[in-house]
Amino acid sequence: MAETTPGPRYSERSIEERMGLLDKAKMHAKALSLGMLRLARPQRITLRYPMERPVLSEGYRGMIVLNNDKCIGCSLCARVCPAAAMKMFNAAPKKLRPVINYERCIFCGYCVDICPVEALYHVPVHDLVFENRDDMVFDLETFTKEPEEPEHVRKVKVVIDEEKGLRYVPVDSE
Amino acid sequence: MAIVERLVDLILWPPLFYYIIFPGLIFVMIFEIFLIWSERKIAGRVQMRYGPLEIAPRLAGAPQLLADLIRYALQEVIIPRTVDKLPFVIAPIAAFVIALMPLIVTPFSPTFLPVTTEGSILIAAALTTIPPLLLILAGWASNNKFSLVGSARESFLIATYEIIILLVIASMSFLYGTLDFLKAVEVQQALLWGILLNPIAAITYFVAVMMGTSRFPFEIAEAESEIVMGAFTEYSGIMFGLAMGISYARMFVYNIIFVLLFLGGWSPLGGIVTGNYILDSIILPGASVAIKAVLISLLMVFTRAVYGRYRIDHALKGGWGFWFIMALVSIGLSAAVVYLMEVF
Ligand code: SF4
Ligand code: SF4
Repeated sequence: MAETTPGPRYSERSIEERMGLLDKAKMHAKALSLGMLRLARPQRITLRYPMERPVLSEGYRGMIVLNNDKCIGCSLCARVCPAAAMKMFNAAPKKLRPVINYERCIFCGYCVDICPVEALYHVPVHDLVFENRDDMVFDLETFTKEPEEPEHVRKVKVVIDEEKGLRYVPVDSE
Repeated sequence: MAIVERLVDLILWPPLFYYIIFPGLIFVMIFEIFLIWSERKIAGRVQMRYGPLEIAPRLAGAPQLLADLIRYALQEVIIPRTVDKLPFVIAPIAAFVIALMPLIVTPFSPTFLPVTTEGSILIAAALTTIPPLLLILAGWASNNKFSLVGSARESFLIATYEIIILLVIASMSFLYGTLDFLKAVEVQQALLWGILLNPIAAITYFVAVMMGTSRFPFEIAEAESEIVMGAFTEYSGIMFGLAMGISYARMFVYNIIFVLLFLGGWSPLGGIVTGNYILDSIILPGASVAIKAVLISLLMVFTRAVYGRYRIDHALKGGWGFWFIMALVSIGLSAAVVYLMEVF
């Protein structure tokens, strides 16, 4: 029975620990002065993304490109793909080649890992724009070409800073 | 040429100039655009972001608000079928107009004011209490649960902050022994600024105005993220733009009153005499009042960057349990100051 009756609105402990007026005023002053400090010396950690882009790390799982000369048509990539994004087709008689459907791909990288001749590889691009959904299903020609880097982009390097959190250091494009 | 002269005459005709240009509609519009932009910029800077920047990055995104305004103006105004049409349409318009009405009695210099009356403080205080009622009307007429929640919250808050504001204004007019802004400013020029005479009243007024014009942390009635602009959920297009401007217009008017009652009105620049009538009686004192009001408003919008939103019961508890008592204390302090002035 005792458990079903509603308890006091606040626990005893929180009543004891309720702040006094002076403490509250102190906390307000602290918060406001921190805000003023940030206003005077901003510490921005956001990036103006489409114009500035971070340099992506080695082994970044971006878009996937096929090296058509290396591929032996073993179909392993299509088999392992958990999203059924890879499909094999006959590029020529007795010459199977994979193509990718970016509507489905989840960028897990299994296909790149499993390929026995390393015919698939990632490129550090993850933000292509397609005009319609049919364009997202690549054919062999587009799949074997590396996507172009957009122009007028400032590349920056992300550096972890002890005071600021994140810092962006510009790097020259070459 | 005659036409041009006529036009210039018409524009400089005092009532028209006062209501339409300064400190009326056009000035308030520019003030709002500047204030909303700086609010977003300040919040961005403090919260480690950039704020609006995409439109004209060289000007720090300043035209962003103009772009927003154009978008609002060109959008279709949708009036839902379920609303009560007449009050729905009238409420924001009337609220905006009435929010600006206290300006008819607030002087910007000893000579630049449209209506001279003995009871200008009383009239201004009375007129500032009307727009929140129209806010409630808007929410009620919208026939939408978010709007109703917003209206209910606003009506809880009104009861709190209006009493505090009126008590503080009463304490200040008690201190100055007048109900006229002109005399109040004269007393401050002769004696001391009101904020030094009665600092408790100044702080209490400041907080109550933040509560009244839904600034953080009292942005409870609008609460964008919980109840989607509160009473104005159903509004769209230019009506929404207008509704958004109401709280800023009210803040501007309240801050003009703050400047006149606590910050010495046209004090620093108003005393300069250059001999040019327009410069002496309008531009210099008007600029000093307006600049002070803008600075106070910037301080009020700055809190958006720091605070979260109080729950309604916390705000009411703070309002009744602390600031109401502070308002009463400020009356006592005024009495003490008046007594001391009598003695010395
Ligand atoms: S990355 Fe993963 S989902 Fe995408 S094609 Fe390769 S295996 Fe399929
Ligand atoms: S796993 Fe490699 S070699 Fe085999 S079909 Fe896919 S890309 Fe070609």
